[in-house]
Amino acid sequence: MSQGACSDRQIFMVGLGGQGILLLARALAEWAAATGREVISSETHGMAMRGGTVTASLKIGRYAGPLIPPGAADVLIGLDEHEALSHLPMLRKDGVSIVNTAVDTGNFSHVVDAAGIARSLGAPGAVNMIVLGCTAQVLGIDRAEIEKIVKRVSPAKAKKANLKALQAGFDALVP
Amino acid sequence: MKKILSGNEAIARGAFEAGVSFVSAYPGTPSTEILQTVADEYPEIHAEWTPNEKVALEVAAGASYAGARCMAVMKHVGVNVAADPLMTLPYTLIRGGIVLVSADDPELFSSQNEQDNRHYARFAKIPMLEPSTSQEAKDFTIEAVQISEEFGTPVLLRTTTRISHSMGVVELGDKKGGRTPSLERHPAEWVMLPANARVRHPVIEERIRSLKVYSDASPLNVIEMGSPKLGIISSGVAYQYAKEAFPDASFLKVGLSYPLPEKLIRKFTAQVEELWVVEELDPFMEEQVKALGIDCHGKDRLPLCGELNPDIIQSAITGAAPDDGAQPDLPPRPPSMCPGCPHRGMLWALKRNKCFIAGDIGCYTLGFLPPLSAIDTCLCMGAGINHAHGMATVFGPGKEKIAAVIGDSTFYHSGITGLLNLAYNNGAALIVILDNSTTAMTGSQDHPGTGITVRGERTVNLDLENLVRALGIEWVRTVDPYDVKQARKDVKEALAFEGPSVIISKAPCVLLKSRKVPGRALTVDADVCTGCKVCIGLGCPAIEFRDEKAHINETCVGCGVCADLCAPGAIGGEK
Repeated sequence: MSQGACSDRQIFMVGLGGQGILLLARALAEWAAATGREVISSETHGMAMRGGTVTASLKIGRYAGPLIPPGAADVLIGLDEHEALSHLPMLRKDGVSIVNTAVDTGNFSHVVDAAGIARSLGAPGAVNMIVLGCTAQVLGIDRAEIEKIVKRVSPAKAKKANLKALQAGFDALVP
Repeated sequence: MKKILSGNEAIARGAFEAGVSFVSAYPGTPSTEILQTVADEYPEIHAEWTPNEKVALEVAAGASYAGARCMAVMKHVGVNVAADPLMTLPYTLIRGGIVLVSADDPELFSSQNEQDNRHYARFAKIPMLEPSTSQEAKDFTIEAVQISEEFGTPVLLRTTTRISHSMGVVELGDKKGGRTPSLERHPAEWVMLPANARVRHPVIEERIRSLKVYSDASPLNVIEMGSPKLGIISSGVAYQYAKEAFPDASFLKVGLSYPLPEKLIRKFTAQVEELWVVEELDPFMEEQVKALGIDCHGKDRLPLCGELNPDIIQSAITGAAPDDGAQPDLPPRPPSMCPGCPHRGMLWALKRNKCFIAGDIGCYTLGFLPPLSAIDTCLCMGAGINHAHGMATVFGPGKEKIAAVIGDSTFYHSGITGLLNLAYNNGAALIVILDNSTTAMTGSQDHPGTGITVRGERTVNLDLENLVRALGIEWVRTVDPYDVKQARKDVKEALAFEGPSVIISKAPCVLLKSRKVPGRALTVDADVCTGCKVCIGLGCPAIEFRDEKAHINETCVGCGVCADLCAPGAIGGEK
């Protein structure tokens, strides 16, 4: 694991209801906790997610409250391009953004056509795991470690597809 | 052992470690995962979904009378439903510890109001604990059970969305043994008729006095001295926000927030220069602090509405304007009914019959959004049927077309009594029960109409049509909402009937495995589409309008409602 992955970090995640942002958030939280650091996360549930915007926050390190103030996120993860764009003010100036989009509009530091990759893998529901793979790659998270976590947090019937998607995501940003 | 748990998962864990053996709940965001976790993780605890929160609290009280430790779980507005037993339960003798969990929703993420349920602790004169982390959610649940048994009182455990739905690392402990149930009789303490209740009231007052002493000594209320320049009294998640905004300030962190630790508050006040009470929603603690004759800041600068965050607290206390930053000019994405939702066809059928549609609490409330714009009222669980009856009665027979829609879970929660009233008082409204075989809005929980318990066991098979008839409704028909043209005719017939009528709009939620849609997207033949926008009027997120033509995107599940309504027949594909 690189040094970068060890420092305090605030990660803001956004997507649409049904895209699996909460599983992605859970996996990252479990990974951070497994490295022995303090973790606080926050999510939206219920009516707030019925096809609407879903956000999750993850704060790794010595923080008190669960919310990330606007302009303070070190990392923005977007499963939907439009939602990522409207939540871009959450990100600090030189923050890292990893966003699922078919077209690179130049708004984000890292983009990946996760939906396209998911379709080609025959697992259209695994966009979240592809983006998680990209994130792991960008943040310098150890491949085997995140794999172990995904194995643990995935529902039994999605485990195989999720692992495949995670791998594809890991390799997607490598030129 | 350490584990990452949400606040709700931690409360379930706390119940397990405290030896709780009975948990009852009605689903409601942000409380739902508590009972779900109990059912999934702790098979030794009896878990049940009850039809409503009043039942949840009353069955828990019964379990306590039998000597078991128990917990009743609900969202903030659910406590209103349970308020009747709640106000008298403290008069009665508590055997097994009884904890009432109220999950409040500041900012109204998924609720019809943002009432501050801390008032219930004062109102019912029962102690209240407010955790501020997942670890505390677990620890305070255990503490709540102990206080309940030590003082013989129900205890309110109050969380908010940001506690219930935040995750943190929790140190797990062992189960501390349980209690063996035994039959006892305590008529003087359990039969609350005036002569007995009159004797019990002073017991409550004396108990609160003892609890004040306890609150002053409790490790849940602690002074954390930092700089004496700024002193902050806070509880729950607001404490964490304040701590993040002012890490060097002094804090009186309140965990047992009713009754407040008065001596500790005086001691803390004497040690700081400027005193603030930082709390979400109402000035619950602030007013009590001021009643002690202590001057402090709070709601003179902090908002009464919505949730707090570190920035709001920072700018309130320093007086600096908050930095809102530049927001991109993009349309917001409100929640909506899913593509293929069976409610859509029925709401359309009602609208085409020019009905006034009294609504209720559930996914169908989202039918209020344009372009469907089909819901005209939404007040609280079960209110829609009664709105419709009240309105229809005032207008008189045949004057206006008044209908109400209510989901199946909401109907079992508090719609049955309204329907009984409609029949009893010779009402004439059309009531549509949108039966999607689940409690959809909170994430698909079972209920008395699904024939399945919280643990997935088979149970009684309720016949809804017969239940409706038994309440005195003569005109009842079960309708397939995906057959929209027929549904429209059925609505017309029901409206023409003299007297109350009920349509059961029956199709499983599109998110259930049992759904009646093919799951394949339909397509639009652009050469045939005239751009009439009839399909757009359904408000389905799968239908877009581009270049003067309708387009169906990949979220379509092929329910076929739009295809049935498309006059030129442009929408095709496998239905």
